[in-house]
Amino acid sequence: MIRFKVGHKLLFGLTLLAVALGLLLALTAPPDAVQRTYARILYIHVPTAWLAFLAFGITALGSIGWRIRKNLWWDRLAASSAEIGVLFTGLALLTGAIWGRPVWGVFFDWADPRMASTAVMFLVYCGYLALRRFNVNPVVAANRASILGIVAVVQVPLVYFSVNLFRSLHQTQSIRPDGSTMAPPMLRALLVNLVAFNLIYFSLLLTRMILARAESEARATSPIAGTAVIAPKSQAAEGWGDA
Amino acid sequence: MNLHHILLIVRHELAVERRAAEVVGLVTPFALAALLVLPIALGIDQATTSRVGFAAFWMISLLFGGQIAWRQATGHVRAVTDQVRLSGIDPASAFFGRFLANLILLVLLMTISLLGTIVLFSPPPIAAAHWLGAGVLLFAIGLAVIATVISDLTIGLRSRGAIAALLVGPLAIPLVVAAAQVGQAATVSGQLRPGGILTWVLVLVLIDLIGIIAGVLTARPLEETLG
Amino acid sequence: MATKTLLRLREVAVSAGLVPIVASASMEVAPRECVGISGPNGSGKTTLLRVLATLRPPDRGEGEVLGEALGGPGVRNIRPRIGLLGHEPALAPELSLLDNLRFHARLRSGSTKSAEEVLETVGLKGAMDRRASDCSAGMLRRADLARLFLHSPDLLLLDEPTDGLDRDARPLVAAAIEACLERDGAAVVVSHDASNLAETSTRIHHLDGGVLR
Repeated sequence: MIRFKVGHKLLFGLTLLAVALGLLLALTAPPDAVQRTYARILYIHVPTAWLAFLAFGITALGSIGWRIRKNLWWDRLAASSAEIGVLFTGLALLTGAIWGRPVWGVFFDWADPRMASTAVMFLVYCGYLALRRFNVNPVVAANRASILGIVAVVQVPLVYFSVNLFRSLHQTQSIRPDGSTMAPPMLRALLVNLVAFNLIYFSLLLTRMILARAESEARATSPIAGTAVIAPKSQAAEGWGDA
Repeated sequence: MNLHHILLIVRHELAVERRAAEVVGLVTPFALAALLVLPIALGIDQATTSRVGFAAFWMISLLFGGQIAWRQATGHVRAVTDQVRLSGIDPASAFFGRFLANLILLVLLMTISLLGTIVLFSPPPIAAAHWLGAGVLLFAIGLAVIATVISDLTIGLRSRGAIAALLVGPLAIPLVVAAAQVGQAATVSGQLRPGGILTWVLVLVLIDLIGIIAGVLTARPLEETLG
Repeated sequence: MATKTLLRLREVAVSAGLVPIVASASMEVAPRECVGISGPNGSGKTTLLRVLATLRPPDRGEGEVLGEALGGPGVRNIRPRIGLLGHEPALAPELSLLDNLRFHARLRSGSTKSAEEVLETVGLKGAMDRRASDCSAGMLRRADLARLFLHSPDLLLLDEPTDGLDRDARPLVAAAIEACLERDGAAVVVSHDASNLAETSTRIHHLDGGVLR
């Protein structure tokens, strides 16, 4: 049975408080002068987009840790962060699309390097999880996934760079409000939600790693594989082949 | 890395392909069939097909070119992989040999697909063929190295083709972005600013170099995962 | 100068991920010895053989093969001295038997015989141009055995070597082992049937319940 320590429970409690406060501030912050109430999705979109990249970075860190230390703790870190990363990357893309359609007229702006690299990252994460899932042997999965985790962390900035270059050379940049200064209540709401989402991420990461360790421990107590094979029953005794 | 070992692997891979004729006999015709279907799906509007011609070429090259990597001879039969490991061949040399073999087959596929694209789509006339050629070759190098690494990562997995395709696609996107720009700039209607096209060529070179270095460095750790 | 032992295992354990397959294996093989390992289906014989071939390191315990520690960096140096005959033939199905053997001959530079010669030795001269995928299991087994005659391994590792071989071809296995032992080499033969090992083995170990006795 999984038991959470006092520290874990404190983290979960703090997370709930932060989420509640973030939600309150998001709903009570003044609407944006241009985007009106559509801008409230900013309080979810920006934190999820940040966490998508953070989770990816931690997956890469876990991959490097496994390659050096060969301790499954690092592999559990990488795998758990990747799973949560898929969730937040998907949310970032979804909220970005919901925000983009009424404000800029398109669900997805290909000329935005951040959107393009987030979309690529989502697919890479999915491939990473598929690679882990289809490798039955957890040590082989750890070895292969760690290599992909490290290779991918080089590739994603390349996507950002190439799309950014495309935009600079072709000058199809759409106007974005990112550089605009935010009113203090909006900034406050954004920062609190950023903290809340970070706490959600660490809570989920901790829980997932505890679960992963429990899974490993259960498998490690398996009996010797060969003991599953026993002598077959005698056909004569069973009456096989009787008319 | 040992040149003799690299050439040995290249020779073996190409010998298997010559007998199996998988790339020439299956993948390439299928790619041409896909090129044929696209204008029909677009409504056989000449102006539209002309505009999307090169885009279709890069897409087909990515989707079908990646398949070349996971049909590899030395990675397909585990017992053969064991013997390659036991022979003492450096994993980096074996990787480079597989990569070169994939590159040769990919260039063959892309050459035939490019001809098919020109015939079926009538894209804008090419004003700078040497730049387009450079773009094709550099794209092929990048895709070959990515696909070879992914192929090594997925040896022995069931549904290997599907997983490999899922992994190669997103990792090859910077290649597609850069190669598409090179291709467009090489046409009469494209921007022929030398600075512009050269930048994209350099991006391709950078991606290829990173890929090759990553492939060579990961060859030995990947061999450890074979068990 | 011959080493005292060519192969040594001490409390070696092997797992598939976290599922244990071999819990404890200890043995020593000296030059000119042929050791048999028998055991029921799924007992881990093939897995243990792959450890001896240095294709995978042990998860626990120590071992040495041809003077190099298992799992150590030096195993790459001794791998060319190992001859492995696995379950599956090391042959590309698309190539002919001859082309396959030529590849293996080039793979191990310093081959003492040609591909044509070894295929003739195993009685496949008339089928050397046949595609591997068109050959029977027994023919593929013979061709795989022929591969072992291409060079002169110091350590032979054979997994169910007589599987699929007819009465005429079975002596080939004994011939390969004898040739290796005459060179002060050693052999380890794995089989589910101990009677297959009796003729060629100096002694027979039994692997069952994860323990090598």
